[in-house]
Amino acid sequence: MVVVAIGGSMGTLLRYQILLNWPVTLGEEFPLPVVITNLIASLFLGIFLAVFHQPHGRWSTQSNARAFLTAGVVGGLATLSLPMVDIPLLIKNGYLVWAILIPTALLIGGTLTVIVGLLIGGWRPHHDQLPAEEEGQ
Amino acid sequence: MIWAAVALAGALGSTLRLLTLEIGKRIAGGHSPWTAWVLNCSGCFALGVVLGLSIEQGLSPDVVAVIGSGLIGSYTIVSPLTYDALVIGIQGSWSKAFIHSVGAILACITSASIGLLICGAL
Repeated sequence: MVVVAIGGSMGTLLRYQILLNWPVTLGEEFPLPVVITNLIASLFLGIFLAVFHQPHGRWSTQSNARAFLTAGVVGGLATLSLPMVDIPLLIKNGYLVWAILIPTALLIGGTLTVIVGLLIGGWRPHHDQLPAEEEGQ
Repeated sequence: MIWAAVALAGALGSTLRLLTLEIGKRIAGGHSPWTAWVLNCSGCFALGVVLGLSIEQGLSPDVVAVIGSGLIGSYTIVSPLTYDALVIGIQGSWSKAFIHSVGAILACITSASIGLLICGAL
């Protein structure tokens, strides 16, 4: 749990800095920074899950490192609440297309980047099972 | 000093997320997608309240950064919508995966809207 907390604070700080350097007005602009941050997080989630999943790989027994990187850093970097609060505000201000684009980009983009990450991490679609998701990434 | 407070809040949010998922696992007797629903809906509602207060009552930006970005931001997670959906889809049912993700998104938007409404920001 301590490694998740440390990783989580690092991921959170990284996200905080990205959103601080790239400010977007809530309810008035498309929140590209938070969407991109989430897609980067999905990519790394895929990479880490695949790398730690390899049965005879050197990383397969490192459960603390896995929890630190997945539930910790990636979990802190990714966030759902901000784009979800943005959607009703965008709808209220008449930006319906952007409001629809946010969940579309998160779902389709997020799933695709997870797959790309898994492939980069060495997961082979027809040979390996998907790595199990544990401890709250 | 604000970044130190955000980092601390991020650590707390991650730990809370872990605890919530663990409690959900105990109650459901294993991995259940509903745990992530409870987690994300509660987080979206809470952020709706925080940002609603920020818009309507001029809540301090520092409080929004620590509680909103730090605590709630690291508490909620996106992977149930993407990775869980991928697992459900590869196990055989892409329509079930689609319904799972879209349902979760709609539940989150509803929770966020209720939070904003309470503060008069919608």
